[in-house]
Amino acid sequence: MTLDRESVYRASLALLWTFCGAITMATFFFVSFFPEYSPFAVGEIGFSILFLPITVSFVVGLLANEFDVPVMVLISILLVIISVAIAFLAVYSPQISGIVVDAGDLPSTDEQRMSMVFSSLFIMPLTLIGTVLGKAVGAVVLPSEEELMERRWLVERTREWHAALAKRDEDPEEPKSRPES
Amino acid sequence: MNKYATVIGIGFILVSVFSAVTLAMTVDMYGAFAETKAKIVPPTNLSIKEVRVPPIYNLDEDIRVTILLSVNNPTRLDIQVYSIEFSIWMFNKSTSEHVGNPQAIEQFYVFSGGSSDYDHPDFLIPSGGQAVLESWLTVTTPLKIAVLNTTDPDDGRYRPLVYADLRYEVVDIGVPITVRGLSYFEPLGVDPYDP
Repeated sequence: MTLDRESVYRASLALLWTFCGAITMATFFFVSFFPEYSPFAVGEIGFSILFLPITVSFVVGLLANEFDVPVMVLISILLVIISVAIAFLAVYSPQISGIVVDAGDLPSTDEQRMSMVFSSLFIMPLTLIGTVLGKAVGAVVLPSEEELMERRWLVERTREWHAALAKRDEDPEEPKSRPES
Repeated sequence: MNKYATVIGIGFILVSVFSAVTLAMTVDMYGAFAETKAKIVPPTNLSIKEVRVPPIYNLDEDIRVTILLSVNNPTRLDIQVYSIEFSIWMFNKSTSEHVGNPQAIEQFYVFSGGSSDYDHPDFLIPSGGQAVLESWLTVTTPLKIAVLNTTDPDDGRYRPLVYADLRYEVVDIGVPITVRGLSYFEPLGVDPYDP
């Protein structure tokens, strides 16, 4: 299998959207669990667990709509894995950087970390719905330039067909022939 | 790429950059808090410096026992101490061997108490700062004062054992932290405090 430049460009762009979405989701996820450390308030935990994954993954699906549904599923899985990984890296960052030795000395409690684990389970199905929904809407509302050209070409050809058919109906003596394509 | 998609994409990148900056700031503060919690511990940066018990002449007279707590804040964040609670046991030379025995020390128990002040400016210790905080309790019961009045017959000194808990919060964060198990015992004893 060979990868042309166009495919690589599209895949890179999809990865960029995925990474951007993951950063946004991880930030809201982390900050909603630990609002006291954040310079900005981001709202309730429910907002970060329910509303935000759908919104972010919808935008990712919208922007990467040229991919098929199986690829969108992979994108949503990647989105969840990266965002949860970033959030948990942030939680354990004092231990990773050696500021604290024991996990018990982390500013977060065991309960908070457990509820983060359980909350992250909710993100997957919502992200999946969001990306597929975004892809569906994006394919209609934001088709790529290539797809638009293809659609224009199809419209053009259909018009030619209609014109040819109309002409044939007007002049029954003309030999029946298909228009050149 | 569709031109509208390009605009949405640029907006999406800007949102994620803003999120990344917010995450970095939050993680930095979270780390600084962890550092504060890890560093402000006894005996390095937190210790009971002195216990002051005045001479007792009359068991009916109220006695004010004071502890001086030394706090060193080597972290990046300011802290506000809002409560110091302590318990005191009183020994003399012959009974001081019981100090390490939790069961045996009960008979030497005098009282527990302390002081709390949520926004006292003296209790605010800035980043890199040091302070000696004073906490006291007045003993009013003659029975307790009698237990407290156990100067050693040989040297006339008190041998108090003190366990203290300190509560503070990091000023910009507001999450309370409790440090337990601060202890003080001077085997050679302390002179009655007569200012």
